[in-house]
Amino acid sequence: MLNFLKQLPSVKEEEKQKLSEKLEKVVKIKNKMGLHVRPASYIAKLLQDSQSKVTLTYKGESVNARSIMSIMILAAPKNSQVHISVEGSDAGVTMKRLIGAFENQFGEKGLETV
Amino acid sequence: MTEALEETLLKGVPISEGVSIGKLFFLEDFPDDIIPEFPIQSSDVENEIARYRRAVLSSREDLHTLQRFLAKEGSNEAASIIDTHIQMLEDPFMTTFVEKKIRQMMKNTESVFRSVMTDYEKEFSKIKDSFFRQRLLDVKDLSSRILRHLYPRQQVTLSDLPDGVIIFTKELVPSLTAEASTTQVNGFITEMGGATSHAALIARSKGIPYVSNIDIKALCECEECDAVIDGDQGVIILNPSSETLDLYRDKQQQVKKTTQNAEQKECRTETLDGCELTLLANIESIADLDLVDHYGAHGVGLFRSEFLFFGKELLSFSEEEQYALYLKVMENSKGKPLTFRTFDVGGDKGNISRYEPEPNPALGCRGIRFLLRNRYIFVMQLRALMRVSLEGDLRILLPLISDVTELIEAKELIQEVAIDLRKEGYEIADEIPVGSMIEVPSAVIICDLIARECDFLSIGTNDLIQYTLATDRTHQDLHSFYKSSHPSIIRMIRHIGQEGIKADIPISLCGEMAADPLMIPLLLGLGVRSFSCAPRFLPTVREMAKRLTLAECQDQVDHILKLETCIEVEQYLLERYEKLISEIS
Repeated sequence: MLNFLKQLPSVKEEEKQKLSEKLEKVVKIKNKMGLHVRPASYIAKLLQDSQSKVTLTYKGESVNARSIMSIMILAAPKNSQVHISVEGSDAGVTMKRLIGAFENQFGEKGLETV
Repeated sequence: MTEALEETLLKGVPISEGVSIGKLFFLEDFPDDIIPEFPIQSSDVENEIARYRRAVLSSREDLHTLQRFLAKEGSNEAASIIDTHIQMLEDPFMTTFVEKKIRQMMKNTESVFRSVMTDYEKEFSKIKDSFFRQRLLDVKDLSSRILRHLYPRQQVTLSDLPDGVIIFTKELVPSLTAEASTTQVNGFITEMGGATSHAALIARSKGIPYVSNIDIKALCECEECDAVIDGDQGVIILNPSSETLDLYRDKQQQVKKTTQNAEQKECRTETLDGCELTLLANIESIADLDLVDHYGAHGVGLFRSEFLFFGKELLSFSEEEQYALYLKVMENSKGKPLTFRTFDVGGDKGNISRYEPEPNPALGCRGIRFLLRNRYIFVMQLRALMRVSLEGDLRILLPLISDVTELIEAKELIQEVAIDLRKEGYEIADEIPVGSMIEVPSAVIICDLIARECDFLSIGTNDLIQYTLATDRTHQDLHSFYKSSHPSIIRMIRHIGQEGIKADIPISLCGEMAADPLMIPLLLGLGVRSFSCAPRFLPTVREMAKRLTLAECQDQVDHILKLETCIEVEQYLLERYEKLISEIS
């Protein structure tokens, strides 16, 4: 988590961007167990300070990324591809943080070694 | 009675290791088929929604209480699982969606909620992956908690059961497993449930044996029968014969012995370059003393004495009652150092119902302030404590010292109590070390003055961080401010360490920070040589320390002291940590 926080641009930089925009990206799930409860709650927590509307789509099913219970229904396993859509005034920073979270395996990386 | 019944062996699936013996007790699931369903008037809708919100709020309170229990127990895994349950209560699905449905369906809240959850479960059951399917239990756990608040019903709960039981139930939910204390629950048996469920994870982390795939109907006739649970083999033995019982008692003894042997060797802890460290345990009950040996601690760095009386009126405990309890504590400490912190009540450690609520308890009459103002309580505790001082290696630790005056006042009182006790003919130790908690910023700044009056110091990081950073550590939205990596905290610890060396008295660090593997190199570099934390984290501290050299840690500290922000500090520590881990693996 610390890693990606560091890479975040400051909020001021983001404010220069357009007021509202829609960003889309496909990411791969890298953590061992896929999008289970803990990653889902990690995402929901991360979105607490975001203003944007965030949707995750997997196998044609789209859910609100703020809902842990909806993300769980997707049952997206390791190595699957999830489509992220972010729409709102802070779409840029939200997307960056989300990608960071997927990259960082929702803080699960390295957990098994210790 | 058991003689007449035949020994029966049931084969199941082993989920959590260990063997134990106990009486069987059945815990019923919340039966949601009894929930009534009826239409409501449009004028009732807002009432029904308010009722739903109250149930969610009460559920949240339950879970927070459970989390505090788990934090004290040191069950981090369990606490993080319960944390996700708390978060799920804020899920739009649980909040806005259910409320919308109440408006749409115009029925009583509990029936609407049940139907929403049934639909959700249907969706969930389409998932093929068994790992994901097991997560449904977390949702079921949470929804029956809400239902219990919406539709209260007489039901047997854990707190109704005697100690040493083996619980059987259809399916084990995470929160029930989390609530189980190891003294009360000797085992779990279920009909359904896999090794990767959260309940399984929690049972394993607590060391409670668990066997699943057992036909519960067969067991229902055997409630309150004696049984053996063998979590290694996945076997249940009903009405065990005396031979079987002997066999399993032996097995339990053997396990105890081998772990004890392993631990005694482990007691010594040193860094790669041979610097010896002291590892101490933070505990709060007599049962916890077993963990001191189990995890190879050198002694107890912090006995939170107020927890011996938790939830009860302190004044109602007489000197004799306290004496009896402390005597037991000393006997079980087996001569290892036992640092007894006098009652730290007030603040978030409330439970003194008799006293006026304060507008700002964390900054109010707590710790030593409370004790000096309620001398009757303080003297009673000191008398009981000093009367057991010859039974082991007792040390007295004073909480929340912020000023030299209160320290001197407390020490004078200790002196008076000692004189009185001797006059009355009690034998007490000639010297009882007295130390201060350093957990208030003022105490850090004048720690040279405090050190002169003390035999040892103990840095309480949990409160020190809270007071230094002006951040309530239980405040949900302020997590990002409560940082042990804050440069101010690092400098404070360095200062205390330096003053401790000058005064030539031992300093230990007790608090969650002592158990954080990321922080251990930093603390070593800052001069901390004594770590006190929840016993189950001690192996982590030991493993980390073994891989570090003091010289390296000191170099790191030189670098860290130049850093300006928590993020930079954490980033640096994390890089170091990852490097260390990659070298091992």
